[in-house]
Amino acid sequence: MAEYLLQVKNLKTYFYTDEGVVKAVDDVSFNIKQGETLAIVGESGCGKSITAMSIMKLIPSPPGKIEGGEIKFKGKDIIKLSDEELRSLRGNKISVIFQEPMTSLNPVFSIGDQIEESIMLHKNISKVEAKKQAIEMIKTVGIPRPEIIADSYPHELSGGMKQRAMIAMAMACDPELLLADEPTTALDVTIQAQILELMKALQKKFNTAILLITHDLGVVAETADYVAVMYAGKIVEEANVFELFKNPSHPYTIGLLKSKPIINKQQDVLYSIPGQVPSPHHMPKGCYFNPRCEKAIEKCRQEQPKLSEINSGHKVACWLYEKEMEAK
Amino acid sequence: MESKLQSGNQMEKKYEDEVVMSPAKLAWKKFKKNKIAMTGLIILVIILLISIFGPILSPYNMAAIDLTNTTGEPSLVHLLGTDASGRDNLTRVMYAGRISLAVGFFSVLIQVVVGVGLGVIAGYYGGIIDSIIMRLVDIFSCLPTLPILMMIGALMLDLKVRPENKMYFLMLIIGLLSWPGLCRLVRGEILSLREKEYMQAAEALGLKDSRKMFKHLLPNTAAIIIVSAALGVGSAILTESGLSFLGLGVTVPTPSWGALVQSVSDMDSLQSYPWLWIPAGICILLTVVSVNLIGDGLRDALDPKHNI
Repeated sequence: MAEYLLQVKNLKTYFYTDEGVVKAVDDVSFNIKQGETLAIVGESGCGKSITAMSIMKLIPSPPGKIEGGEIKFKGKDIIKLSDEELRSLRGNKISVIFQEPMTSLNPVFSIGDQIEESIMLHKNISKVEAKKQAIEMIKTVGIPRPEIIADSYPHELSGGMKQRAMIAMAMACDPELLLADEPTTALDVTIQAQILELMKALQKKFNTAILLITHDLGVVAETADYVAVMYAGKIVEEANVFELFKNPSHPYTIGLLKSKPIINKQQDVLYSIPGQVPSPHHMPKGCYFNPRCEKAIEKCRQEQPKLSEINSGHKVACWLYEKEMEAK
Repeated sequence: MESKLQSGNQMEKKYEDEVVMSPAKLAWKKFKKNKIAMTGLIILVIILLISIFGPILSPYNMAAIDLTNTTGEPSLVHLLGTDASGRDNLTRVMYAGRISLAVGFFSVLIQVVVGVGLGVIAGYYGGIIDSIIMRLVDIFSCLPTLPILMMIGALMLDLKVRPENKMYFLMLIIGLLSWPGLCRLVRGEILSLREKEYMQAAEALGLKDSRKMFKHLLPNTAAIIIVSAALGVGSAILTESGLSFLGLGVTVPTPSWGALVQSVSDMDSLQSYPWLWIPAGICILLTVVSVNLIGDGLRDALDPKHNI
């Protein structure tokens, strides 16, 4: 088995609120190899972003807390690292692209300054050299006239350019792992495609592993190697991207794929999964998805299914596949 | 194809002419358009220049007594006349300007350093640190300023602090009594700013707390700090003048504008020797008004939503 760059095992991130404990991430495990892209898909509030933030240990605490599990980055458990060690990891070996390019850049500094800052912090080089590298990086992410843009302020750039600048900032120190938290959600479709292309190109160039958080299955099909589908804090299905789109198994995944509009087909009403995401304070008994599931059987209401392999590399957490699981 | 390329080149050319303006430059451009604030700035600069260089150019020593010419009327030799001890009044007004302005600026400097430093720390860390600092702010803002200043003035008299050293005490005390307001303002700003996404991004870059606080958060509060500091200079000058007028601040032979006005405390000299108190009074008025005009102008210039 190849060496994994990032191994997340039984990660549990809970939030302690006045109304009770919210299990935002509940027993989630996954692995990412070097140079590979894992996409985590799911509805709003299913714990995708919290998973990514947990990897960086950026959970606001209190009320949030990583309750258990381990996050091994190159064999070292991130949860146990000291603040000092964490800081040298953040922005250097692991970096993040945030959801909102409009607000993720500090309005009072020029783009160049912000990119330089992370370079100078982690690479220990002179300001002149850092500036050169920052401009080089701005060029790499495909922004024209990098020298001028380096001196511009965030308000002078468009959303797409800001997101490129964010990517430049994240990639400036050649990270080995990039956490992309809905990097294209705030952008329009044409820019979205460009940004995804760019990320793929950079991934090839620097052999970076990407953890892509998204709710857009189109983005997943475009970029990911592996996909994990999350629902209410748990991974319900995990497979490589071809397998998942060809052979979706969990009723939730099937529902997600069905609710995508299909080109060349007249659809009067778009399919939608009935019901709503359960409130984190009142999780249903058994499988969390059972109240919305069309195929729910009695067992689903009683017991929670475990994530188990039904095909090679294809894991599902659903009682409908109990036989296949046992056969395995 | 050809024309497309050409227009592309033109675009490039246009881009090269593009000038990127820093926020400071933008603010200055806006400030320059504000005529009232510019008038204030010009007046203040003139007063500053006269106070700094005037005494050097003056042929008189500000403390030199000439008993043959006491309370002399303004003349070509003594442009603003002489005071009760025959000292040249113009020199004294100019020298007083140095002291009054220095007290104004340095006490504000102290106020900014203490208020902003504590405000940023309180806002950034929150929790118990915030509570402690905010209670300190509460205590300081409960202290009645005037009685304390008077007590300290009396104490200085008792301890026989040398007149020329009194201004340093004044700076320190005015500064230390006036920081709570600014501290509250800055803390409030930081509280909302630290929740912004870019601070999370800064955290994700692996920056240290101190750098996040003073490099990333502080510049975002620059506008309110600059404005309240500018307005603070005016009120510090007024406080100093008031105290010196009451005889509790700077005292003779060291002049300050307040002390000069005080030299005329009876009805007789008020009526007979207007040249002793009018110039200093006008100086106080002009300085404070122009400082306040500049403060207002800065407020507008630094507010991105305000267009002149």
